[in-house]
Amino acid sequence: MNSERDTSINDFERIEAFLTGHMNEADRVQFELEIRNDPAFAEKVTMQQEMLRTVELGAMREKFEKIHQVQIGKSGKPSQSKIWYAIAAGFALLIVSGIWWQSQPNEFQALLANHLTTDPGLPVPMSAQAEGEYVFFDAMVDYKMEDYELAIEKWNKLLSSSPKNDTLQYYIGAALFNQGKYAGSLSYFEEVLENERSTFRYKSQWYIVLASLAGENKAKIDAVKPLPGSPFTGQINTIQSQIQD
Amino acid sequence: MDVLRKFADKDHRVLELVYKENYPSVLHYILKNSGDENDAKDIFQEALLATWLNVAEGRFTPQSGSSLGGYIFQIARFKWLDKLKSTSHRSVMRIVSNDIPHTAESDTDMELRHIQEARIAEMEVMYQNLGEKCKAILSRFYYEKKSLTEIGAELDCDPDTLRTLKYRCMMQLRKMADVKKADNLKQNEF
Repeated sequence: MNSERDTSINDFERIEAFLTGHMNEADRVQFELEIRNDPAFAEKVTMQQEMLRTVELGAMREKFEKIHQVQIGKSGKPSQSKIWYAIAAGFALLIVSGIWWQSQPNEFQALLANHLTTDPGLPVPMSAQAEGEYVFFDAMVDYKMEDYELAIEKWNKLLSSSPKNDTLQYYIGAALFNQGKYAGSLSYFEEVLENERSTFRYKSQWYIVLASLAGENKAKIDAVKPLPGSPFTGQINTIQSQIQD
Repeated sequence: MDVLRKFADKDHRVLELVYKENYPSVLHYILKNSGDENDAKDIFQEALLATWLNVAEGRFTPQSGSSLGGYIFQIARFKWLDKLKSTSHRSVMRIVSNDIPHTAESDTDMELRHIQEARIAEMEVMYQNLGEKCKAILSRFYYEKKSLTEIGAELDCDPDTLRTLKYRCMMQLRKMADVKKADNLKQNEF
């Protein structure tokens, strides 16, 4: 069963309004009539109510953990096992400190950590779109859900029929970048940068600098000339000057 | 009573109060009957979830705070007895069985409780299987009752996109429930 096809977003939101008490009296009466006359619809309402309970219950359990830590955890005497954990944790801390001392990030990694940003993606429209647009925004939802692998897979299919599409190139690059596949993202950003009409040029150039920091490629960073009017000019200049030191 | 209505409505301060006031008695009971603090925490939280669900769905209407506490304790006790009877605790059971008060749960009540426990366990697994982003959106919207605009400001996302994500996340849950339902039907066929 395909749940999304089974329940459209409009049906879903109507049921939600009913279940959460956000439906006016007239609509509610009509809705209840539908439930009585349409068993399949009634089943959808029951299922959605169960999903709602699932969220309430799951979220409540998470809150309990926090309440326990705050209200109970603080007052209890440390048990014998907790004392042993504390001793073990002390040793672990010593070992970790040693490792930390030896693995201090170099200046490239430190600069990357300071400037690292994640492109939040494009807003997803609610209305129905043409087939290609639908797939694009469907993948954008995956991107926003941080399922970058799936987003890349969907966008790559679109890119094979529109290989010069800068939006696809940019977001495939961004998805790779967010996965830490910095080297792989570079070619996509570079292609967008070449496209003088692209609105993603500034961001692409910025991500080229960040991906080059990750690759510790000083020559590549030095060679970057911020595009006129780029909002990233200041940050690029700062990075370039800091890696000279 | 206002506090009980707020309990049904998941008011955080009331949940905190109910937790704080009722956990010690469950902890005491479980420590006295071969359990440890982790057992007490798990059993108490499961009992509190079951109590909330029964209140929210109208199967239990507490008349006062103390009847709510008594109900939570009873559920916790029955759950702990079940656990002691389970394989891993069978050896312990012989030692402590004399200390355990006689239970007054009927077979029907026990069956209903087990059905409810299985339902809650399935719900928890489904929720845990959601991605972190889905949990962040759904818990804020359905549990904390925040608007999409408020959630958007917290998660750096526009409300229209959040609307789609919320729908998509709920459909993921629905898909998991459909799979579970189909599995259960298959099992019942055998």
